[in-house]
Amino acid sequence: MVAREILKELEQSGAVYLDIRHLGEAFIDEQLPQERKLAQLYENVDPVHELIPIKPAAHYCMGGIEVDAMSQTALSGLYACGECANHNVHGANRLGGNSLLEVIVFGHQAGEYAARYAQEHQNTCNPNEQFQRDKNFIEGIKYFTNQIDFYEKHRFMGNIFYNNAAIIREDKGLKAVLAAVRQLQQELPFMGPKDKSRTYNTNLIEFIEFGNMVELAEVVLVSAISRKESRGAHFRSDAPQRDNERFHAHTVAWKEDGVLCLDFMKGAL
Amino acid sequence: MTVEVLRYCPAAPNGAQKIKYEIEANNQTLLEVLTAIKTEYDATLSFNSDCRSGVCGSCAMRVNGVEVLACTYKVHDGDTVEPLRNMEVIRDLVVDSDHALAFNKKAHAYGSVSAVTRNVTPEEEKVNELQSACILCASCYSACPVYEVNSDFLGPFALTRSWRYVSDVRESDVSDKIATIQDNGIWDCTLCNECVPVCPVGIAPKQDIVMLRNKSGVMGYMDPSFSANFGGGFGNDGTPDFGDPAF
Ligand SMILES: Cc1cc2nc3c(=O)[nH]c(=O)nc-3n(C[C@H](O)[C@H](O)[C@H](O)COP(=O)(O)OP(=O)(O)OC[C@H]3O[C@@H](n4cnc5c(N)ncnc54)[C@H](O)[C@@H]3O)c2cc1C
Ligand code: SF4
Ligand code: SF4
Repeated sequence: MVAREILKELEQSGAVYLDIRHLGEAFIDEQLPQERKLAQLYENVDPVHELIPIKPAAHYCMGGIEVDAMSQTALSGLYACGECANHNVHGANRLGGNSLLEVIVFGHQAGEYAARYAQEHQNTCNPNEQFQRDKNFIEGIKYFTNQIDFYEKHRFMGNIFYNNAAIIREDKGLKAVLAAVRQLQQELPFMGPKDKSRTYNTNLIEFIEFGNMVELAEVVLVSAISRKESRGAHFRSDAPQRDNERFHAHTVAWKEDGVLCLDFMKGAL
Repeated sequence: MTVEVLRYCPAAPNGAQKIKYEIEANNQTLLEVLTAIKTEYDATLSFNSDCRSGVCGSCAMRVNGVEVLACTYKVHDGDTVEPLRNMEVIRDLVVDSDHALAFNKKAHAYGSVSAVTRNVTPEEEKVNELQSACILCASCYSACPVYEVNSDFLGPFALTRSWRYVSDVRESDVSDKIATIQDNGIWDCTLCNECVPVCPVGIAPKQDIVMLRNKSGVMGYMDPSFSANFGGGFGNDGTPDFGDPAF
């Protein structure tokens, strides 16, 4: 709600500020020292005496890898916890502080079960289909043509997501971004890392991450398009109300033979 | 403006080389500049970074010989950028920090199994609040001159972390922690202060080492070089023992 109003005001007047001057220097230094430091460093603003320019940004990703009550994923022996996992504890709007809580609770649990699994199983790293696919991808990368700069496409994707698939969403905009993302998926073989080194190749890592990003972006978009309602951080200007009848459920996405499948799981709540 | 980067790749034949980059920068951080070089001119430039806001400690490097976090340092014309010292360079500005980070374990700089579970008051928390904020950037480690002569020195951040636990009210028995830091530890520090100004969060490892020395003294330990110089070490009251007087 606050983020939406900030965004609207930004669009209208071009600037929104946070005023914490009334808190006083002693309180700010005691309770918000990092915020003061960041404002001084990156905005040249001292919040004790000045207004802080602000803009909404993502600081958490709701949902994640599906896990069972023991933090195990669909792949036995593979555990997930923290922000990357979906423990069904946050719903559509994670409340402040609950992420660090989840990291501690489920981190402890996943660690314990993973250790136990490792003790009970001889070979904990079975080659599977996905592993082979990833291996082929890395092998294939040397044939990628590098005509398109993936860093430029990365920035482009950030922009279209921020403007159409972030704080305020609607069907048309989401579908346009989906078309762009599918285009990027097609273009991936025309991109690639320029750095061919086998030593600490961050260019290659960033390219792999970009590939993962365009794969996941499709899941986010298809989920957002299918959920024709507004709930928590998912706000659709073309469907601003909550629709419990149809969508009081988690969206679950998976791939079958490379094809994205989606369902609403009421039981998950 | 011009920025020079010391580049090194083990696979390249000519060793480390300083490469000059002409860049347009105005009040930009070093990390922004390095990212621009990598994404727009030369994708092979290698460095580490993560949070971009001075919190995670992964982009520590040296500028004109002084340790900084690339994400908080504003670039100046003519700056020379190099990797951290006292660690093996893997590539360009990326160093292998495994050896350095292992000192936390060697110094037993972690909560003990014997620590009691009880509420900590805000005042008690203050005692080691600053030391708890160490982001393990290894800037202090890079600045420390002791590694020129002793690669086994536990070093500034591990000793700061040791003090963080030794001073923790929940640690009921710190004898093991104090015993562990006697060799290659608190007495090997020259108190030169090099580690203090480079810490991005304002920790003074030297001060913490002095605190650990005091604590060690109270627990009956002494500076080995002192005791060697004076032959017999200290008496029980802490005064140096000069041996039996010869009449
Ligand atoms: C600005 C900001 C403020 C926040 N404030 C709060 C708050 O006040 N309270 C709260 O509860 N939550 C807050 N959050 C959310 C919370 O910080 C995160 O959800 C939480 O830290 C996630 O922890 P994690 O361990 O699950 O993941 P991360 O901390 O993201 O750890 C993932 C790790 O995996 C590593 N990694 C990635 N890829 C690979 C790979 N291929 N191989 C090996 N390692 C890899 C990464 O380097 C990283 O270290 C905030 C988030 C942000 C961005
Ligand atoms: S004060 Fe001690 S730990 Fe710090 S840099 Fe000097 S010798 Fe190293
Ligand atoms: S003590 Fe300071 S300089 Fe040293 S590792 Fe910790 S944060 Fe970095």
